[in-house]
Amino acid sequence: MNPPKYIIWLLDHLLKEIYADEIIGDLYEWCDLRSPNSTNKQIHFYALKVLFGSFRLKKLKSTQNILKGLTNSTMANNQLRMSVKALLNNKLFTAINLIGLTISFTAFIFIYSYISYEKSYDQFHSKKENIYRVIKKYKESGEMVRSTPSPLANAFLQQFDGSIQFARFGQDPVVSSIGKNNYYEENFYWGDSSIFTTFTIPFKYGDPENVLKGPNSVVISASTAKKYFGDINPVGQTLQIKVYDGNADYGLKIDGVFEDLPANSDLPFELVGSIQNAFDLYKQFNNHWGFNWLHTYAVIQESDLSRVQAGIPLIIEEALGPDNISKISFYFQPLKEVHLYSNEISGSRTTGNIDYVITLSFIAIAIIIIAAFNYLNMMASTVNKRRKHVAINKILGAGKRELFSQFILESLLAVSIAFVMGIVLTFVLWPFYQSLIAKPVPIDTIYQLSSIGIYLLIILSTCLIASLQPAFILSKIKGNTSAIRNNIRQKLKFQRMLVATQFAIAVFLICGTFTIYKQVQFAVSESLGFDSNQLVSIKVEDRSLQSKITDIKNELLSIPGVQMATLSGESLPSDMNNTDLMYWNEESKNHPVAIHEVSADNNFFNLLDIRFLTGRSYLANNLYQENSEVVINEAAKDLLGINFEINQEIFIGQVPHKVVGVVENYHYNSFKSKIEPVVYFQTKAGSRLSYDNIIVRIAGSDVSQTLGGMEKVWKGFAPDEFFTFYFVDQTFDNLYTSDQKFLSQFSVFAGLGILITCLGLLGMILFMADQRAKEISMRKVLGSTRYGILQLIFKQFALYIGFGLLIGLPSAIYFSKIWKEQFVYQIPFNILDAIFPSIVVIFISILTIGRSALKISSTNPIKYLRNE
Amino acid sequence: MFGKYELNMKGTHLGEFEELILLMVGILDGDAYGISILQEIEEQTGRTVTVSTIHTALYRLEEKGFVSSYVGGASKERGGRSKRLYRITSDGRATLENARTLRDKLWNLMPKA
Repeated sequence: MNPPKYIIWLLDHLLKEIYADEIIGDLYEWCDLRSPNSTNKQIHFYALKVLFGSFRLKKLKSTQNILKGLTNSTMANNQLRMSVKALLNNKLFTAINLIGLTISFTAFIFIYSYISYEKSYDQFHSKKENIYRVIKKYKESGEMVRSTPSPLANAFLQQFDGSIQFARFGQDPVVSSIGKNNYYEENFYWGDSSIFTTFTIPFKYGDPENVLKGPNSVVISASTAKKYFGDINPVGQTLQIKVYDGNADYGLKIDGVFEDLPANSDLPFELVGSIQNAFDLYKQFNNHWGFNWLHTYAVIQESDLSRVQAGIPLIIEEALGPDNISKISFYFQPLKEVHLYSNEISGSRTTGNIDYVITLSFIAIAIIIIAAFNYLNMMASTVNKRRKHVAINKILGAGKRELFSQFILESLLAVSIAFVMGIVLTFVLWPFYQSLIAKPVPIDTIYQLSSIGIYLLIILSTCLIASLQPAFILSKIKGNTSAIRNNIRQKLKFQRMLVATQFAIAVFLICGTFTIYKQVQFAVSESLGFDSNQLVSIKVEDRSLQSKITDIKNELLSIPGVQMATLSGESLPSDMNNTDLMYWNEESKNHPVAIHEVSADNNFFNLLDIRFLTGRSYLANNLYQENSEVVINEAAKDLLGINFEINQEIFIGQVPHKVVGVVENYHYNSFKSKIEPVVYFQTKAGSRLSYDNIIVRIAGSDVSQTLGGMEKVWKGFAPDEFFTFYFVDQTFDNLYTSDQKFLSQFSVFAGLGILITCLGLLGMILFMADQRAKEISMRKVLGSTRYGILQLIFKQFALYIGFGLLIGLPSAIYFSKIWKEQFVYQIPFNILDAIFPSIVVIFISILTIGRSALKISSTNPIKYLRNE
Repeated sequence: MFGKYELNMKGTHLGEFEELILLMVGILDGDAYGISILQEIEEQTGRTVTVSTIHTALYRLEEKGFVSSYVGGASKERGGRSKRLYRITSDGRATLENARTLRDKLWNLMPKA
């Protein structure tokens, strides 16, 4: 039994010959000795131990010799040797370059894997090319909505039978019961049986072609099945559910269990009940065009798409009348755009944002450009050092082409080494990056086949950016004695431009980070217009419980920690689920405007600390009916014009009401959405507008005791219902989670970009110290002061910085303006936003070059002048 | 110059494992190389060691000047590789003896149990 071949190969190629022979020989003998009573595995393990035990620095071959052993062609071998030599000759510059390039490649791989993950959402469906999401569009306002009317699919089917298929599903939270256990299932959807033939979702049990065919059937996800039944096959069992909204109970037969949807899917469901139950439960729903609830996905062959699209006005005319053709339209959003291009579509819950993807790709490229420019600058700086070498090579017969490829190869070697180190660093830092983006991006996105092409492309282009220009200059050097003796005069203009560009990018990154930080901070900390501290909101889903909501509220008030309580038909943050049309005079009657309806009891404003601009709240016994008292917000008042006065009559849904008060605008949702006109009133239980939230302000101390008391009260009314509550201020902060994640990513990469710029700066000043040592010494001998020398150095760098600021600042301010546009309420631009990043850049630069500059200016001139 | 002297002084120190290897090289008398030392150690002390640890100790001893080496012949069971044989130098023998005298001296100072 011989030792494994690859270990022998490694030892042979990595160790110096004298050691290799001894070690390999001993290893052979040892294996011979032990093979009778050892397994192959043991011997292999032992050989590995010897391999690692033998790596001592002095036993290793020099890098050149290793490479020599690996390459056979003399020409390539020679070029490689020269490259390695050149890199080793200038260890400091090589180190700076390698560190910079490694960091930039690590950043690139991270961003690249993030982006490819974002692009992979819902790309595992085999019909992905033909799946579209149906989006409703209001032509006048441009508003787009994900929810579609229920009869839409049937209307399409009548018109285009055969060329279109539909899969619809609509959310309806339920409580399911298994034995004595109850589970609140938020992601319960009613859906068509075609969901599982449209989307490619593998089944654990059951057949995707044969599920949800009749009413009273349900399909559940694998993890739900495990939660309910453990590891057994639950197909055929009955699941008891209680539907909150419809106030109904069903026993649903389990048709199948599908594998959990992967994390990179935007499909929301965990349980899907047959949509026929929903038709049965919500009567008229199937034929009601005003009921926008379902998500509708369509499968359309590409050849039919334009024909179907053209038929939409026809369907609208038939269903909603010719008036609506100019108002409403539907369009088909391709599945591959659903994840990233849905920010404009209201109700879309996707976490992707194409703007983030674009910004991050820009940063990735910017960081690589900074590192490549560093390399270019340093290579250009050493032109004069290498002049003699090149000239002698030319004299000895090297052609321009060989020299040119030699320099390209040199940088290719450095870039490739950096890339490999970048990959290693990516692996090491992967857990950190995952927690930064808070998405389970699988690590194998790094080494997918499709990634390798991109990697090669980025290695090659980095290499070319970094070395094309200096290689060109160097290979042009003539092979004569004058080239050996005299410095070539370099045009430093190009180099200066590069340093200024790097500075511009650095300024841009700092300024961008700063703006994003300030805006997110503004959104989180700016007053919402009401007091959100110590507010607890309790959702009451159950219909029968909603009729007792006032009693629950009153009971809650008896808890010592509860200061105030109110009821509302909207939670906070509010989605504004109910909207109607309002008019207030003859003119507006022809063009009524939309107004959100919120039911709230009369101390709602008092509890939330919302101020009245004018008037008062409605009286306690005043219910929403004809001529009832209502309160509107400032946005609604602005609609009514300057002639508005208290007790003015407005019509909502053609019913007259009396405005008794106007409240100041407050942010009922994130700063990204506009405060729209709202009307407030009181209702009884039993209508779509009824109260379904209890909002409580609790004392700051003994919070857990208070919450415990509240749960006890809740259980007194509803022993089987879950007590679900949340803190209002936290929920508002959560609205900006994705922005905060983006901010942390942006700032980490901005930091890396700045770090690499500083590395380049450091290289520049070290080079300058080296090149101008004699000049500076002469100046000192001739009477220049230390201060004068410092001034000389800083003047040059000040020019770079100034130029960088000049370009970087305006572009950063422009970027910030665009980025902030997603927020309706923005932090106003402040001149400090520009000054602060500038100061940071200047400060960091001084910090980087200061020490070296001081050292240069204080060296003893004799040190450099002695030789001549 | 001073530094080199210091290095020499430090170099005369023998680690426990180094002493063991040096003794084995002495015992094997001209036939000492990785595998023979390994077998000898196993036989005499029952310790199991890897070849590479022995090599490392041998190189260190050679640096200190306690052993000298020469390349011996290749053979088939060695995969055609030559072996390197080690021999103890007079310096090495003197250091071993020094260590032994020191130990004896210290043993004599130990109170009888």
